[in-house]
Amino acid sequence: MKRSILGACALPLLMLAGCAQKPAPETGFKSQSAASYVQAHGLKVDMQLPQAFVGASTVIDAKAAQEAAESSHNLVASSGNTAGLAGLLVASLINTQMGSGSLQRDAEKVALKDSRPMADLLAGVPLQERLQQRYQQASHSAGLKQGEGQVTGRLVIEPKLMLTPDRGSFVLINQVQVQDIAGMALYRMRIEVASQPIRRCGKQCIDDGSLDLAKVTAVLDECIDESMRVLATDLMLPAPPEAAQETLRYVLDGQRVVERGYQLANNGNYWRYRNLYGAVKSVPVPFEDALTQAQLQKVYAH
Amino acid sequence: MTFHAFRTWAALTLLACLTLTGCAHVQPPVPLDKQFWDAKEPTIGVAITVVPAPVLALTGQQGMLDYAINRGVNSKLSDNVEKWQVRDLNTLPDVIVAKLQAKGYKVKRINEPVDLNAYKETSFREGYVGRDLTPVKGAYGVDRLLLVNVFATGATRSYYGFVPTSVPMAQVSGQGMVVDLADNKLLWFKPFTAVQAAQGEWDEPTYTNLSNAFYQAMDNSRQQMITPFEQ
Repeated sequence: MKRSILGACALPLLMLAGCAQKPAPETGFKSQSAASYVQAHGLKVDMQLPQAFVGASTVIDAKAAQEAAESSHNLVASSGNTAGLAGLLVASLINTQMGSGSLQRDAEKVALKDSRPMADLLAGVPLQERLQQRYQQASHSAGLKQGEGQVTGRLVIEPKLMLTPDRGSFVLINQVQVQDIAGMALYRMRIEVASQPIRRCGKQCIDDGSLDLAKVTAVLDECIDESMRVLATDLMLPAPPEAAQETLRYVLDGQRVVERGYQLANNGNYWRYRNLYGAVKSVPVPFEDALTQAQLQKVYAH
Repeated sequence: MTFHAFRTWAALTLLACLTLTGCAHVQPPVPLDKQFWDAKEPTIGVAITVVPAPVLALTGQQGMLDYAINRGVNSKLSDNVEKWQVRDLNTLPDVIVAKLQAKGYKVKRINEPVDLNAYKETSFREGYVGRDLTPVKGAYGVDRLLLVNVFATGATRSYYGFVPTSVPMAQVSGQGMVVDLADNKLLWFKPFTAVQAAQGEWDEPTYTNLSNAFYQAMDNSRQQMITPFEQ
């Protein structure tokens, strides 16, 4: 009887909660006129430096996460068995304060601490002017027509440097938007470029962990150049057909990355793909079992 | 109840218990031994069983009404899970064939998916496969069979009644084996289960993170099957 009443009360709540899905992150968007508009009117680069330009990805030990998930599951399941629905509610509260949630909070604190040396290093550089200049130069080199005069498009870029889990390299995350003269978005994309190692002695070594400004800026410049090359190429590309979706696999900084998406044509040292959110990622390592240029052309032709 | 009747019931109960529990033979893993690597003459057939389509499995203590409610609440997720592709598993034998050929072994890719139910079941004997696979030898002209047997693909979510006790987790499970087709002896046996949680939110409209988790679980399973043949 008690269970039925509790059930009757919880059912509408659960049904409502079940419908409240999390909103998806902003996906990429490209208007059909974006490429022709840029070709006709050109672009003026507007780099908008965020307050927290440097960040570090959170790292949670897989084993600890698995253990936390298992203990959370056992706690919830056993409380359900022994104390019914009331037990489940108590267990959920405990779970929020301990287990996976606690691991996430600790990882965020460590990430903040780990990003400090890089942030301090770049604090000595006039980043706004330097990055603005570099993005402009890179967009020109990538073949994007530069805007002159009054009627021109606007290329708004918001970059963020995110240190990778091993802190030996970073990912330059660019939120890019192409706007027409009226400020209407014609193209919006997240372009992520993984950097070469920033360790002073190269990839296969362990140094004292201190950073070299010249090395970091050189690597950052390379990422900016690649970001603009990706943008120039992506503006011209048609949307990939659904059938071209595949699993992309590669090893970056010793970590195996597996993501579903669409392989794009590679360029020099960089291999590119579009993920399921529409973001374009460019990594300086080849994909496993990558499609050849000829295979890619065939897939995109369908 | 007379003593005789009581004794009969007790014996029947005991027999039922023994029958139910006694059947659960579990084949322990068999490491890939030197005998496999030393023999370069036998032809190795590489195949995969019919890969089951991805489904959402709802586990835990649920009554019939609970189960019906849970199915309804998860219908959108279930539809999405059913659209996941298992092509990466079906191409797994090709990767293993390439690895073995590169090492100089005689390998033959068996293109038809193997249906284990088509082969006669045998009584449990540790170290031997539970089906008589010897007809494969004549049918495909191979001496050994390297078989990837996939049991389940998709996602799982546990419930207590109609209350979820876990988030959906992507899963792929099965077993890999090398069978000597002369006597059905297992030269290698490795069960695998890859369970992967979504990185980030799982319940977005298109379940993108959970989809990625599924392909990561599938890659994990692939790696578990490929790695022993890379040494």
